[in-house]
Order: sequence, then structure tokens, then C-alpha cells
Amino acid sequence: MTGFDLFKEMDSFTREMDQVFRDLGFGRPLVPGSVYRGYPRINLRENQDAYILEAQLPGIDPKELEMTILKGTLTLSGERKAGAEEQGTWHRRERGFGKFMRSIDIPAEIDGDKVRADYKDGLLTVTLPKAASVLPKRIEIQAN
Amino acid sequence: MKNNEITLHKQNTPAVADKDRAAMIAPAVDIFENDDALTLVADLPGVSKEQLELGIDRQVLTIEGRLERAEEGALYREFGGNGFYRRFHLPENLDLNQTNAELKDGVLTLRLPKAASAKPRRIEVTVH
Repeated sequence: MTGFDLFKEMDSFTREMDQVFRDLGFGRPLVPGSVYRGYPRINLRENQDAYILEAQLPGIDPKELEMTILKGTLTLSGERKAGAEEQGTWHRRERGFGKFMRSIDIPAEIDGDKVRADYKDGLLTVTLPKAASVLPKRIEIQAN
Repeated sequence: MKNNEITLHKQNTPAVADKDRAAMIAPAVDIFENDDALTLVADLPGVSKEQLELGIDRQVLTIEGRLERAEEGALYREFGGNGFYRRFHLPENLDLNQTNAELKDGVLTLRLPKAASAKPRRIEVTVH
């Protein structure tokens, strides 16, 4: 049996710092103004016509993922299953598993019918088109 | 070669300069050992096969996944950085030529079989 110490990690100090930050809910580097409110971790950005939400969901069957939108609140829920238990020894167990649910408030009105969600390489990208009522409208000025 | 298989480089060829690695995050890993092999599972959300670099050089395993994130118009962020980077010193009793790597849904599974000499052997005792 290989001893735990044999499977040594390089740069273990950096690693421990990462763990501290992870526990505190910060990714490294500290993203300015970032807060960690639950699983999955999300990023939200906007462009002219839509809000784009990205969620880190590695190793999840997209079919097991549930997404609902109600009155500007998007709710994501699902489960990450643990790998098959075998006879052996765990040297590290940092990847979590279990059920999760998270609600995210969308900052402005969106067009719920045109929401699109793509899952690729463990990243869920949700495109939420802005409602026509919040899009800037160009008004022609009549010259008399 | 299956689509989800990854080429394993025998040498660590740094894809990015060290200063860029400082901004990379160490991925969460599970390491499991049984009689035949060590299995390492790492969460690399958003990393595709093309962005992943795996290397084993002098018993040091390097996992590196580069990411290019759209930063424009960011309203709220809980993850950032330009990718994942983590290194491990491997034990010596592995048969590194038999290493097998798979990437699926942002999860890397690396199977490192043990060398024949390191596997437990049952010795029959003959009673006279």
C-alpha cells in the first residue's frame, strides 16, 4: 500500500492557501468584490441584449439538472452523485457531492420564453434575453 | 483512439509563463487507491480536451487547464482566474506507461496502474 506521504503534492503551501480561500468561499486569485453564496459557483455578465449566467457544474448529467424561472428569480437544482464506492483507500476527497439548490435574482426584466441553456465541459451557460421593455429604444427626432 | 481520451505528454512543456500560473486555481481532487491502481479525479469545469495539458516528468504529474473567460460586462463573479493548475509528486511504484486519462463534463479521471511488483501477491503455503 502506498503511504499518504508518498503521494506528495508539489507547492503544498500554495495549495493550502487555496484550501483556506476555498473554505472562505474565495477562489484564488481573490476576485475583487466576489462573494461565495453557495453551490454552484456562478458568474453573471451582461451585454446589450442579454444577461449571461455561467455556473460551474462539473460531472453532472444535464438531464438531472432542473432550472426554473419565476418572477425574475432563476432556480437551479440537481444532484451530483458520488462515484462508486470500492474497496481501497482515499488519499484526498475534496470534490463534494450531494443535492444542491440555488436561486439567483436576475437584475432586470427578461424574456422568459427565449431563455437558452447550454451545458458543455462541466459549465452551464444560461442566456437570458432582456425583455423588450428594458431595452434602450431609439427615438427619431423630427426636424421641422 | 476514443474522442474523450487525452494524449499524455512525457515531458512537461509549460504552456504559460509562471507568472500566469499564479492566477490559476488549484482544482479540487479525489485520490483513491486500490490494489491495482491509483485513481485521480479532478474538477475542471469549462476546460475542453484541447485546453488540457497533462504531463508526467520525473515522477511529477502536472495538470493544467487554460481558460479564456469573457470579462466584458461582468456584474457579479464567484469564479475567475485563467484556468486550473496543480502538481503532484507521484509514488514510484506506478507503471506510468499504462496511464489512462479521460475528460468528461469537466471532470478529469486519471488512472495510474501500479507496477506489477507493487501489487499485493498471495503466496500459497505448502504444508508437508
